Amino acid sequence: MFEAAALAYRDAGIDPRKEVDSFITTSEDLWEGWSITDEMVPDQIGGAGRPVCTIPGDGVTGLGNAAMQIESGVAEVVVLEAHSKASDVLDKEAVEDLAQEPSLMRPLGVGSDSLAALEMAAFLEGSGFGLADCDVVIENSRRRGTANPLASFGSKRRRGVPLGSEIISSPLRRADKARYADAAVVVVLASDRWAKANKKEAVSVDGVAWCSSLPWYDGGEVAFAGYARSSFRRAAEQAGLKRGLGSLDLVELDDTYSFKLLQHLASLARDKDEASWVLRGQGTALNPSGGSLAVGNLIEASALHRLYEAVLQLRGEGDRRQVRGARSALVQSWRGVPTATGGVTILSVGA
Amino acid sequence: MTKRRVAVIGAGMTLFRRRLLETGRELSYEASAMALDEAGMERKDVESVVIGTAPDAFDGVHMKGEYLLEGAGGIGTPTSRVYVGGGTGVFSPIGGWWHVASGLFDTCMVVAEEKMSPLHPHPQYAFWSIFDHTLERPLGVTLLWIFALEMRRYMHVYGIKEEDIALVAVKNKLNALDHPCAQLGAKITVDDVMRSEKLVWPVKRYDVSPPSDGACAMVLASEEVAKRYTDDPVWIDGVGWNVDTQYWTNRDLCYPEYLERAARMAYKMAKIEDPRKDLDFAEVYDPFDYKELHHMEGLMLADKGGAPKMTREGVTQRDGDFPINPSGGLLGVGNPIAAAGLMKVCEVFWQLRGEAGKRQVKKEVNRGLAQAWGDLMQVGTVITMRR
Repeated sequence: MFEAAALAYRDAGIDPRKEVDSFITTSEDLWEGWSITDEMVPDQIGGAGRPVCTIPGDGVTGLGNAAMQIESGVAEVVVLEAHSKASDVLDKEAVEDLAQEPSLMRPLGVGSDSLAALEMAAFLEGSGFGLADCDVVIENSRRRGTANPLASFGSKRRRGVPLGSEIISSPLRRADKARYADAAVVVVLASDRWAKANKKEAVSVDGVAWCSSLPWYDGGEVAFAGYARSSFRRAAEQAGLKRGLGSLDLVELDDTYSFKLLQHLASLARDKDEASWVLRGQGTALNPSGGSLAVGNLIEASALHRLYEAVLQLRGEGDRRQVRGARSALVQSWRGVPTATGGVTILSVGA
Repeated sequence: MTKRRVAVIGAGMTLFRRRLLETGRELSYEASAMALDEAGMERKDVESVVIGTAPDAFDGVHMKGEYLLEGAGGIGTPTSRVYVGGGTGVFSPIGGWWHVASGLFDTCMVVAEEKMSPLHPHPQYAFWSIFDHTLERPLGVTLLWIFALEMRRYMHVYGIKEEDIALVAVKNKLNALDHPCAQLGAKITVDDVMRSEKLVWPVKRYDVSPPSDGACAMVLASEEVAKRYTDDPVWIDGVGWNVDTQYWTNRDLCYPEYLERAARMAYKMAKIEDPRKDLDFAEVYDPFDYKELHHMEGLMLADKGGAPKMTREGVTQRDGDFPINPSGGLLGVGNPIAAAGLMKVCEVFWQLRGEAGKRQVKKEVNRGLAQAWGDLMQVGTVITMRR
């Protein structure tokens, strides 16, 4: 946390003890064995003695709340923090299983990977996508990850070479699931007025929305992700985005599991042609960071890692993975099994 | 300057009890349904939801906000969970406030729930995981220990007697007899408190609020929407929150600096210059009886070390000059952490509308305050409201 915060403050050119009005952490309880996450946060990010709180979620929810704090007038500069120290957790599935409804669902003993596998099977059955499409997602993500110095799992494995990955829970293979990684991400947000007054070259948050839909196992949709579709519609409306994904230079979509990227793409695209167009990398760049499959599953920090990548790209700082001429971006997130919660934000520069 | 005014137009509250049969989801549903009824709204009228509940360990459910979604009406509606430990109950309507004040939403349902009884052998075990795993857990420390240290320090610095502190428990439990949802309303004496079981000296059993299950809810609306539903809205005019360092051993525990900072933030927004004069009453966080006094001082409703005298002189009684905790507080109504904080905000709402029934304070009230406290003795959350 301290390292990420120091880097972010240096980048923004601010003193957190004087110029930040509010600090939000989006990391959830119980990971790493902590309860009440926000009590461990202020000292590390310069927030001690200041307004600090937890808004656990996928990061985009935290971003939305930060934006609302700014819009309400209660804050002009808000810091958003998320972290993952997954390597401290001996049994990650045990933590994930605790997220299941305790009376009716948890006693069934269906683990989070098995839930994901059931959703994957139903999605592949009904969507027209197949395992080969999942392979393409995995290969492309890992290849892109080789250009990202922050990615832990980039790989240049050639297409056609078998994945060699064991089945976790059919049809879910080990390679379909993003591996956990440790990280912290800190983002500094400010009002338009503050950014202009302080002559900052800022990336604009044009739209931000989040939603929870009915999970598939409770009768919700599986062919698409309702939370992603609903969030995209509202964020696009705020941003005045009229031509769908095609009008964006890059998108960073959640790929905690390979099939989830396909599902999220299908949820955001106007039709299958648009989804295929983005998947093939034509026009709109897909997950230039390499996504979670290459960077790693950062748990509640995953969305902020995607946001970080989008900001780098829009500032032209993507180095070897820079999307040429990137002026607009979309970040989409999901909280993971067993939730049907996620969000979308649309960003731009130079509008 | 805030962008839009935010009104409270309805509130609801379940019974506060140990071992309620309802699940957390059901409690959330009951409270939010009551709040909607009072507001005259239906679920489809709610544009956003804020859930307050902390920590996950109580209900034994990871990502508890996700679990409570369905009961709180959050499916298909943008929902945020907000928390700052024990300060969550008052912080959740602050979160709801910025949902509406920002202009992004016109209405917000705020729901706070806690179900402490599933934890065995005792809810105190949930608090074990809030301590630093390297520096504090190896000591076998509990919340009761550190609060006993704080109580002792407060008594030592200002020369306060245990009997002075016990008066708070006597007052609040008596007030709670008039609360239909209360868990531990009782007519007790200072002597009863003094003779109750010693837990960690100087903390005795009657100094402490009970573990509870329960939920509260509140409907917030923009000015335009509020006028469609009620002629008598209550306005949120000040919000403040502040978190101090995690390292509580490095602070002088005799005074809650973080609370003064949170209060100053809220008072500035509400244009309150002298809280003792500008406010009419307060719901002050009282999980322990000494905390009511401690917090009155942090809120600048009393001079440092002066709260016991106000209590002794009857100023803080329901019919006193400045009533404190007319609801009966956590000591009397119960302490389902987040729900207990929101209960205080609900009480301010009902008092300001003159709907508190037998609990209604005697003098006319136009402005009130609710406050909560939490984390490792480091969080202050404050909300001020007016008619």
